[in-house]
Amino acid sequence: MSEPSEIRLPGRAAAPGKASGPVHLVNEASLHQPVPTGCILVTRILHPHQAPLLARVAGIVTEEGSLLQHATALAREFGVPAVVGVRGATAQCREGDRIEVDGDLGVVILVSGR
Amino acid sequence: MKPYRRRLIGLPLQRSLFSGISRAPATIGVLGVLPDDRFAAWLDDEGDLYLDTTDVARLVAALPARATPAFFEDMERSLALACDRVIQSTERSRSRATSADAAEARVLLSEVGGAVATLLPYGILSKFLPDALYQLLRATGDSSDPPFPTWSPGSELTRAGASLCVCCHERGYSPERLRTEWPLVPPDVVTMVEDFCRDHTGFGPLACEAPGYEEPRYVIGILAGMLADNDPAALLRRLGPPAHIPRVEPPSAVTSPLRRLLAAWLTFLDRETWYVRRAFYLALLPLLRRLLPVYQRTKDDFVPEDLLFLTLDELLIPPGDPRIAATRRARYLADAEYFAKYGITADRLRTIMAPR
Repeated sequence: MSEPSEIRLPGRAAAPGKASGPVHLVNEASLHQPVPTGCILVTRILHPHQAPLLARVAGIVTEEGSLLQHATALAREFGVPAVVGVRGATAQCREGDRIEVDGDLGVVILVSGR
Repeated sequence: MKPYRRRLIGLPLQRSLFSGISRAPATIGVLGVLPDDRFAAWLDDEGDLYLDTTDVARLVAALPARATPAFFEDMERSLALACDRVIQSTERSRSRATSADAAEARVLLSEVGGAVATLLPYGILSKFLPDALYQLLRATGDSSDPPFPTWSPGSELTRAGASLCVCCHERGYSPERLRTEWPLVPPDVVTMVEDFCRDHTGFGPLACEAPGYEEPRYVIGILAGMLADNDPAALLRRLGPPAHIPRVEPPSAVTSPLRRLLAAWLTFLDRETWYVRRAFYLALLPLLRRLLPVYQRTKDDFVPEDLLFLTLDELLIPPGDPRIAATRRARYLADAEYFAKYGITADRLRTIMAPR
């Protein structure tokens, strides 16, 4: 096993708070996979029809950048920290990677080398 | 130019409703900024969406000079009218489709297709205009949070899904059991799930033929993903009430209509796809089924799903060469990237065009 290393991924603070947990990658074709409790949902973009998946997540990371997108509104309503506009998030993260979301500063820290 | 979105819309019928998106500047009353008051936005034959960011920047740069209460109020009114027109025409077609002959079906098709086509420029504008309006709002000195909707459509959908889970659980059906046994479950459970699907038809991906909330198996899959081993009643307790989001009074008369307009756009953002999908399933598909005999009289092997490969204009005039639909269908079916992106199965088009 390789030594753990940290990668800081900058984004925009979208919903306040801090959370950490395992990465759960979501796209339209994988919507029906069970969402692990306490995971950090990582996706290119979050649509309103995917909102039920947020019921058990601890944090949200999206690649698309606007502060006024669905992910921001939903994260605030669900009381979940969120960072949006994180370029390359879905490519950098693997399912189950440890990740920390800082919704106050707009930063994501990916801990690799599990 | 690189596509703004790759493989966004596959069906020629849905693509044809995007023909007016270049008129977006006129839609919001920003004239005299771009040549012919059109900006470069279009869907190509592959379903890729192109959007010229230079035109977007010019449009946004022109907003401050137009920032008056009347401008904001007009935009809010026209957005509301466009949304209302889609809802009204969808409901009209839904109630009349089963008894309409081919001629009336075409009239209704024109009405609902036209309403959706009028709405779609707002969908393109929603990719950048809310941000531009928010910047204008900040420039007025309003530093409060954006006016996000509370109890947004997405969170209402989640609560409704959890409530459905509670009802199914009371009858001994977890989402996993539903997934395994559907549709061989008690009639009252079937009714609950199908009612949920009918009420929430419209939620789903923008590519209308991709499965969404109109489809029981899709809903059951979402519920299973949402709940896994959790207790739905506990989930419902966690979901409400929503997090407290402070409301602020607009500091000036100029800010008030701008803040109201931004709130309207943020609400629209959550519903933009819903309008289009709902019109597709509740209006366009039933109307297409009424037109089918006309096409089958001209070509024996014309299959129902071929109607989805004609444009709105082609459907509104008497049938031309129906072979063109089969040609387009073959091209569509060869696009593996598109099918993978949306999780569309080979039999999906036949399923959605089947008589109801």
